[in-house]
Amino acid sequence: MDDTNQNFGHLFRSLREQAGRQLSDVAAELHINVAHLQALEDEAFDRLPSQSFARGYIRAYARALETDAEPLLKAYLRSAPPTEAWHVNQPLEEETQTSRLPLLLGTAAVAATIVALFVIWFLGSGYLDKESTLADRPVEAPASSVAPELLPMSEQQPQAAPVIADDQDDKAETAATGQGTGEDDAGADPAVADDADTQKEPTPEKSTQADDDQAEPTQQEDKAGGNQAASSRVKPDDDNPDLIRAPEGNDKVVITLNDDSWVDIKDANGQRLLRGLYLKGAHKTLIGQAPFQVFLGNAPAVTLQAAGKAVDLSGFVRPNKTARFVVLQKTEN
Amino acid sequence: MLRSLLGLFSNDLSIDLGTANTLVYMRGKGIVLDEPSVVSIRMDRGPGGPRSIEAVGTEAKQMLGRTPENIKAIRPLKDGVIADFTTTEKMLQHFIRKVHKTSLLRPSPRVLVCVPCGATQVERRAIRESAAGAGARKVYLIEEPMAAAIGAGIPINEAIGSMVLDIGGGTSEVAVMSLNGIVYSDSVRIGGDRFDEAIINYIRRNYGILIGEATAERIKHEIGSAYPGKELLEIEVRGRNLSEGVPRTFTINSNEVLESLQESLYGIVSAVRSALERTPPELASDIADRGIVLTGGGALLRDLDKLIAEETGIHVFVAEDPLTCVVRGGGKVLEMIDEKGDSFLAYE
Repeated sequence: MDDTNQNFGHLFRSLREQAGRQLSDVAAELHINVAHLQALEDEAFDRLPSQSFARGYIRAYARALETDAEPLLKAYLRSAPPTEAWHVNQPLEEETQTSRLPLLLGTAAVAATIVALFVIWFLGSGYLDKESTLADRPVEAPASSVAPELLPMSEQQPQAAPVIADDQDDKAETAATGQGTGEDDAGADPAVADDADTQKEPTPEKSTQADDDQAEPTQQEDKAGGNQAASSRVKPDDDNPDLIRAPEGNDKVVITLNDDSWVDIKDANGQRLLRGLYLKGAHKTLIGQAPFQVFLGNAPAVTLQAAGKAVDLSGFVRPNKTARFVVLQKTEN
Repeated sequence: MLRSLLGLFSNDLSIDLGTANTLVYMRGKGIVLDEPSVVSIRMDRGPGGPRSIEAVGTEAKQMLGRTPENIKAIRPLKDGVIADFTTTEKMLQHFIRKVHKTSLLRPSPRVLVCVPCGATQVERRAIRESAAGAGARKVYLIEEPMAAAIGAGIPINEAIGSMVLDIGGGTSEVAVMSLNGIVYSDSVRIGGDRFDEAIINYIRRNYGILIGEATAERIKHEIGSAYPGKELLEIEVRGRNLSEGVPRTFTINSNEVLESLQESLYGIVSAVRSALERTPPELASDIADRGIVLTGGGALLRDLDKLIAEETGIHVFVAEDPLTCVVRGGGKVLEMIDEKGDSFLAYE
């Protein structure tokens, strides 16, 4: 039986002849083209329409001959040429896995990168040990030779400094435009308390008034925090409030404001000599350890003299009028 | 963006949203769901009160015609299109979640839904919206006969005409296709449901007995035929005698069922005839040469292929596994959609 099964065309023919029927009779009964039935009996696959039609004919033919179609269909499948039919009933898991795995991996990689970057940023920002950085900074040995050389700050910053500067940059800029700076966490920065006094001296304008109002709570906080960090306090000279002297160093910088500007100046030991919004006409003399890190909110309105020489600020002014640079940079021999 | 990421964790689905049954084919897995399109709704505080889903699918179908006052078992689709929008959405949502049972995240698959070719723009939009409302990330629509032809394995990409007759629960679709497109299509609102109705009406008229839809369906499955056969089949059924008001048992035979189905069957045959009349002659000769393919649940009605073959003089054969042809075809399109584009798809 198996042998005949493998040859379904012969089986059809013998069954039909057993029943004593003509091919044309069966074709007429089934309304199938005689040529198709002939092709089935001849197993001429090229003369048959596509597989789904051929299978339909086999089932109809088997039913007409009153025989079971299944063995014939199996025999047909064994000998039929493979078609381009899509075998979607079979699971395509391998295919889908290969096509989707890279996507999944890619997503996971992107997510991991984002998390890693966030962690690096968080650790690197020094947010955790910012206060200790300022208070516990070791006093560096005074530089031996000092020359009034100017370099952009970004290239010459000490390691911890840029991060702090960036953090305060935002606050400085908002202050420079006359908006509130009430959020200043000046606990780390006691010098502001003293600077605030100087701001009140000139005739109050709208912008400074608003600024002063908000500066008051800051001052109180400053005083509370200032006691803890008394070692780094820089006091203006009692006789001359415009003269500010750091405990160490003899390098002198003179700053004159032709218009209101935020000013933030630190000496080489990290002592903050000047910080805050200063009004038009302010004239300050600072004495401390060179080099000085200078940040100006309204640089075009500021004239700066370092070690008796006027400093040309035009090279440092950014499009938003701020400037950030180092004066009296010591030369390395 | 979030949806496309979630989409990585859900498999694309092809859904045959039928009047009688809803089938779901999952890309890469095959047919994963085959349940009746029935939802039973609990309304504890009357018709105006809050509604909650009591059961969906097979469980709900068992309740059809057997529910107490506060539960209503409804079929949200009628004549192949959405009759109850909200319930359809809930049902689809239930099915999509059910086939994504293992997934932790909310499934957001791309979904291909089959629509009757006679569906209006409003009906298509309703199907699209309810699939989107059920959580689909993207909804594709495909004409049912197109999906049926692809599912039956007919090479519709060739320049040869093929005719498919898909008899579903609510509609019968006849379409002539060539070169991946539909040349002619027609949809008549006659399907399995109409057969059931015809049987119910026949028995009420001739026996004075009222039977339920489920019983009518059982009669159709067991002894229903479309062409007089050699043997006479009988079945014993129970129903309520209308004049006496008490349940009665009686016997009905296949010839009676055939008689009751005549009108509906004639409607389908005339749809096929008019399709053949309107088919361009080249394609009509291809169809006459190769035959008509019968798909859908209606194809399981005994000797329906014979009836149509006799009436049209063209060979008719039932596709293999006719109930799942449409959803399998949709599945094939889904598998190809990324590589071969969406030329098979239907638009609103």
